[in-house]
Amino acid sequence: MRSEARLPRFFAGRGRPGRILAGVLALWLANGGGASAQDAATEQQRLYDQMVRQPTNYDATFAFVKVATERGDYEAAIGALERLLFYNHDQPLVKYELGSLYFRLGSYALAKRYFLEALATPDVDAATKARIEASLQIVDKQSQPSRFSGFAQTGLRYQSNASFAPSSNTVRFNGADFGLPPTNGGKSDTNWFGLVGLSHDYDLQDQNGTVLETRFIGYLTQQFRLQDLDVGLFDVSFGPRLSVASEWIPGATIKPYVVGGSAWVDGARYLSSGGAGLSFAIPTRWDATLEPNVEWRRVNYVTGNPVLAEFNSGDWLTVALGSSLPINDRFKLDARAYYRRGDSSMNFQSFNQWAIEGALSYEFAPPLASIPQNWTISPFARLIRTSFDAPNPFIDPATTNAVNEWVAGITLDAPITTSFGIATTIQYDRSYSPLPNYRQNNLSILAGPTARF
Amino acid sequence: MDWLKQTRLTRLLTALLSTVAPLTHAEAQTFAKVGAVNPNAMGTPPGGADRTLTIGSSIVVKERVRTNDAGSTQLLFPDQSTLNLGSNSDMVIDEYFYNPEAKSGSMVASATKGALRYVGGQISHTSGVTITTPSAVLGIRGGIATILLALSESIAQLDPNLRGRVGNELVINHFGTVTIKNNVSQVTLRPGEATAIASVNQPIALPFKVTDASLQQILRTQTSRSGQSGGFGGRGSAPPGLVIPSPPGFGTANLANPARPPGTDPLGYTSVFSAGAGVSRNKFQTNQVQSVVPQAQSAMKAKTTSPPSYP
Repeated sequence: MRSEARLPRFFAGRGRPGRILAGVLALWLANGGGASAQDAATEQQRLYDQMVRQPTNYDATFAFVKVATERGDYEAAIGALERLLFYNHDQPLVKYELGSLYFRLGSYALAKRYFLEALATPDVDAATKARIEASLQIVDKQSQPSRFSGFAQTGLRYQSNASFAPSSNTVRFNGADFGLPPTNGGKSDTNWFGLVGLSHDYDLQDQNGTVLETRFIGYLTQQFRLQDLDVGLFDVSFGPRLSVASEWIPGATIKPYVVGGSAWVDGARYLSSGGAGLSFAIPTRWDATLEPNVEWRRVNYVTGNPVLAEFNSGDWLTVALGSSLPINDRFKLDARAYYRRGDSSMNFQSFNQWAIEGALSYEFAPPLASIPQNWTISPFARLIRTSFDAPNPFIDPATTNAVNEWVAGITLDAPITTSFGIATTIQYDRSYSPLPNYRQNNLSILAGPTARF
Repeated sequence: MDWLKQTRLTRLLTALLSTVAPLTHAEAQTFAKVGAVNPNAMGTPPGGADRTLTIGSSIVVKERVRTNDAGSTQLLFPDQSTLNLGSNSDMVIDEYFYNPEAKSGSMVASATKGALRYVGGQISHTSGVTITTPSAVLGIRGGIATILLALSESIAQLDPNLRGRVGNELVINHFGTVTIKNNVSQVTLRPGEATAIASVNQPIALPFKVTDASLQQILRTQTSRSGQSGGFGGRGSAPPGLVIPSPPGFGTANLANPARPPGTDPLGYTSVFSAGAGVSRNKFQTNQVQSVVPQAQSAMKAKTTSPPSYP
């Protein structure tokens, strides 16, 4: 009941951005997105009817394939293109397109076969050949039972408020407001950062479709001026992913896992955590996969003062729902919402947290035809509300803290080769709270080279 | 859409008349069209005579479709699914119903020999498609599947997993889920997996993968051979210089790497930076409070030492 009462406030936000986001979401849901999707479906049906009346009308067939592919209906496009191969078997572009459609379905054996058939066609052009060879490398990797992949980025990140100072430069302590000394005021800074994400899948190839999944993320920063802000963290998880209820929900999986991590600030360990979770992946008829997840973690803060550490340390229980919805072959919506309950020994550090976040990714052709990967631009937004159980007597015995933090930004992922590229992000954070300590804003800009394997 | 409307209208009339008359016309419902055909492919409607199939031929419920040694065909269904029949195939669509408004329906087929590839549409996405073979019953959800009745020596010798299985039925699941049952066992295939069935009373083989070499041969059995044109222009063989020009931009798609290590999705990527900031922010907010402690102590001291005020 408590969470229900707070949800409307969460969406309304204490600031204009929250209301704008809610408004845009409501408008989209009310009409916009759904109407154009319906139009595309109608157009696909119209072209299909025309194609059935005139099967050898290849203009109609290509038009149908284009619409079906854009809608993500790859099977329909496959059926139409395979008919064109009945008419003329030596069509390298049709074979490449068939390979790419099977590739997108994850049907790698047939994708490989069509790619090889396209390569064997005498008049395959150089650009298609390059694309096929790049795709074949990925297909071979995806076809292995043991699959290792990674992502890394290094670069520079500028923050307008790197020291996380309150916007008013005022801090409340023991119920009274005090101005921050200049040494602790707001300061901008730039850091070097390194980010590494690794994943390993081992397919046991058993009847249950069991895949052992290991995931690792590591992050390191080094500030140019505020060196006591240097941060390092890692998080690692491991668990088997198993098919579940495959007769009723094809492709549905369940994954129990263990998880752990640690974080350092200014070279000293700041916290460590460990726990376990259970996640599901449930395909839907809209091509979106729903990913409910529940996770428990014990979080231990390590500070110089054991008493202070005890205030913060506690158990976190998180219930989340994530999904990735391919709207068409260009647009994809990633969304996630979670509720977290944090229990610590001191009730003023125990909290309820709700979060909702989304990113709309638009994939587009790179400016040069020689670049073998599409570029992606992703505006994103995140809203987090954290409500503590009781006033912190050290800060303000009369005021219970509740922080609304919203984040908005945009990322550009620009691969240059199959393995290397550049990524940049611009992000603005703003926090609202009844306590001045936690009212902040920060603009950050980061950029740097990326690597994928 | 005329052919579909006709199907629904016929179905409705059939249902209405069924209370007063036997189902004499129900079996003549048109449900599929021939999209491509290499001679010789024959259709035999229930109670009718053999006829040669050509592009645009309608297929009615329970019509038997056969191809000879050089024949092959592709059938188009109202739910946008397709069925490729290779050479020496023999099958009957026993039941087909599709409701375009609900995007659901049912399809039941029986195949006795040949090479088939089913590429799914709305029916297989919702309720599933059933194909009966001499040795098993297949349920296709998703889905794209290849069925060989039966495995030839020339294909079996290309694949260690297929050796010793000549004459078996071979089922390959390319996408979705395929469940195969017979009198003694049941096997579910994941994408990329195949199985072999020796007979209806022998256990179905555990899933395995077929080699690219065998897949190449299987693919060739389900489309035109060299010199065939699938009935394009009404000809039995490819017209000289036949070119199907593709539109600009076709076949130039860049494919994204499907591997998604942590940090490659936009939310995961940005949340790493947020997590890093969260750790240092916690520590700095504590430091900020501690930095005003001397001020607070001075203020308290001043308060306790100042003389009492009187209204």
